[in-house]
Amino acid sequence: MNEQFLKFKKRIQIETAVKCVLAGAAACVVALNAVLLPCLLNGVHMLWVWYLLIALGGFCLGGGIAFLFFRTDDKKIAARLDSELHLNERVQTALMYKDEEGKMLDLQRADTASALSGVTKLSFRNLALTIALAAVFALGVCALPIVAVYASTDDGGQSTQPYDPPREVTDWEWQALDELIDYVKASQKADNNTKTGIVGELEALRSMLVSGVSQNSLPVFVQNTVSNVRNTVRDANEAEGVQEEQKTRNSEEGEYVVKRLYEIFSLPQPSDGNTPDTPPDNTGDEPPKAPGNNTGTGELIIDGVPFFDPEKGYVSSGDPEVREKYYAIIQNAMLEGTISREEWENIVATYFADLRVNEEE
Amino acid sequence: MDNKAQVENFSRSVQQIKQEIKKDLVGQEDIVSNVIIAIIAGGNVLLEGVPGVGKTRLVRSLGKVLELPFSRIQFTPDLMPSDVTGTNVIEKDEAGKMKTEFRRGPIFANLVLADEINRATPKTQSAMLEVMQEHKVTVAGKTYPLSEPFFVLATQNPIEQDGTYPLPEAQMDRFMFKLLVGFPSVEELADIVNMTQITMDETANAVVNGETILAMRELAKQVPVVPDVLYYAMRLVSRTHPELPDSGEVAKKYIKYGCSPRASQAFITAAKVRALIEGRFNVSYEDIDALAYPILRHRMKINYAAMNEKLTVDDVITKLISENAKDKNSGKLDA
Repeated sequence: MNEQFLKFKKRIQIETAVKCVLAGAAACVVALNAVLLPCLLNGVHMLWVWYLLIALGGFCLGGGIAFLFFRTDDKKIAARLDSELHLNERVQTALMYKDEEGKMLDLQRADTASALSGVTKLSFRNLALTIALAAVFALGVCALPIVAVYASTDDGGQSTQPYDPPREVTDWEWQALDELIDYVKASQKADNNTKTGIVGELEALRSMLVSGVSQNSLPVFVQNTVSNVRNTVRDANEAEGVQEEQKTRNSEEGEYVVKRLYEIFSLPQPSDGNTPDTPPDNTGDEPPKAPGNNTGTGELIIDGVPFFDPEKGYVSSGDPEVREKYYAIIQNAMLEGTISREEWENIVATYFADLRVNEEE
Repeated sequence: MDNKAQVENFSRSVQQIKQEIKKDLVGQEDIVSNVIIAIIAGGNVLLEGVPGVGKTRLVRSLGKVLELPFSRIQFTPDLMPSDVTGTNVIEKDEAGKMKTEFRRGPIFANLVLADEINRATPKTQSAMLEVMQEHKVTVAGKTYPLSEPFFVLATQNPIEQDGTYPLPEAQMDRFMFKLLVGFPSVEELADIVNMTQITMDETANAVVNGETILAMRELAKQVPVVPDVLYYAMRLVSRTHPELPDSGEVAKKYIKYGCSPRASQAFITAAKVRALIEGRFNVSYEDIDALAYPILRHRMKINYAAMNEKLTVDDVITKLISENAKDKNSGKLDA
C-alpha cells in the first residue's frame, strides 16, 4: 500500500505546489501592476530593486496564503483519496494503523493496496480556481509591458512632452528681483499709475516663483509679466492728461524693467531695439546691467550673468577669476552639506558647466 | 486457521445463510442482511410489520439455518414472567424428601423468537430485560447463565393497538436493531404464493452452528475503526439529543429525546460486521449511515413539530445523517 500511497502523495504534492506557485505568480504580477501604474503615473521613479522586492513580496504573500489554504498532510491525502476514489476509508485506516501489527490489519493493508492499484487517475482538485489563478497570471503578464510602455511617457501617456523638472530660483535671482521692485518703487521717472502697475506685476511674479515653477514654466511666467508690464505702461500712457514727455519716461521705465527681467532670469530677450541698456534714472544702488544674454537664436549665454558678491556687490560671471572663486565656494558648500548634491548639480549645470567639463577632462 | 481463511469462511457463511433463508422467505433482502449483522454482532432484533409479511417465518427459518436450540414464546396478556424465565418447582428427590428444582423456561435457548412481544404486560416484558442485556436469568436469588450465542428476535404489530402494551424505553434500548418489515411487491407476492403452494414448512438447512457464529463475532471485533469514523458515529448519536449544547438544528427542532450510549456501542459493533460482509476490513462512514436507521429509530422520539410536518422517525434520521455528513473530512472529527 505504501508505494501506491506515496505515488498519490507525490502527485497531490505536485498539485499543491502548482497551485501555490500559480497563486504566488498571480499575486506577483498583480502587485507589480498595482504598484507600477500609479507610481509611474505620478512620476515616481523607483529603483529596479524596489520592483524586484515588490514582485518577490507579492509572490511570497500569494504563495504563502495559497500554501496555508491548500497545504496537505498524510491524513488529508488519505481522506482525499478515500473520498474521491470511493475507497470507504480504506486508505485512512491503513495509514492510521501502518505501524501496528495484526492479521486483520495485514488484510486491511493488502485490501487497500489492491484498491489503490486499480486507480490510475486522480482528479485535479480546485481546477476552476487554479485556472482562474493562471488566467490572472497571464493577464497580469500581458498587462505589465502595456503598463510599462504607457507609463514610460513619464506623464502616463497624457502628452509626449519630456519631463519638466522644477526650477529652483537662486538667491541672486530673488535678490535681484527684490531690488528691481524696490528700484521701481523708488524711481522718480515713471508716474504713480505706471509704478503701481509695474510693482503689482513684479510682485505677482514673485508670488508665483514662491509657489514653485518648473524649468519650462518659468520663461512663460516671465514673458507674461513682461507683457503685463507693457500693457500697464500702455494703459497709463493712454490715460487722459498725461504729457508726452511723461509718456516717454513711462515707456523707458517699463522697457528697463522688461530688460532686467530677462537678465535676472537669464532668458533670451526679443530684440526690438526699444530696450534701454541703462536705468532711466540713476537711483544709486541699482544692480549692474547684464551684458546681454540673448543672441536672438535661443542660445543661452551665461557669461554675462551677474553674481552678487556680499563684499563686492555685483560681479560679472564672465570673469574667469570670479567664476572659479564661486565654483570653489559651491563645491565646498556641497562637500560641507550646506547644499545638496542635487542643488549643486543644478547650479553647476546652470552656471559652471564649462568648468565642470574642464575638471572632468 | 489464519485470518484470511477466517475471512473467507465468514463471507461464505454469510452467503450460505442468505441463500438458505431465501428458500423460505421471498424478498426482504435488507431485513435478512440486517438480522444476520445483528446475530453476528450479538444483538437482539425487533421486527415490526403488519401480519403476514414473514416476520415469524424469517425467525423460524433462521433458527433452522443456524443449527441452534430455538424456542418460540408467543406473548399474550396473561403470560407471566415465570412462563418466560422458568420457575422453581417442588419435587421429591430419590430419598422422598421435598426439594425445589429450577425448571427452565423457554428463554433458555440460543435463539428465542418473542412473537408479538408487545401483547405481554410490562411485568412480563421486564422479565426480558436481564436476559436481553446480560444473557442470564435470576430466579429466586439464583442466577442462571444462558449459553452463547444468545439472541432475542422479537416481532410486533404496529397496527393492532388494542390489548397491547408498548415496550418500555429500557427494553427498546436493548434491541440492537429495530427493522421495519415492509409489504412485499406484486412480484414477491406471486413468488410467495407459488412457494407456499408446494409446502408451508421451512425448507432451509442448517449451515452454521453456534461456534461458527462466535468465531465470526470474534473476527469482526478485530476490524479496525479510524478515529474519524468512530467520532462520526458518536456525533450522530450525540446529535439526537436536543438538550446538548452541540446538538444540531434537526434535534432541536424535531426530537423530543435522544438515544442512549447503547446506540454508540451498537453502531461500532454492527459496523464492523457490516464492513466484513461488504468485503472490507475497515469501518467506513457508509456503514455508519446505513446502520443509522435500524439503530436509532427505536431509541429516539420525535416531537409534535415533526409529527405536525408529517415526518417519520426515519425522515428525521435522514436529516440527521445529512447534518452529520457535513463533518466528514472537515477536521471536526479529529480525535
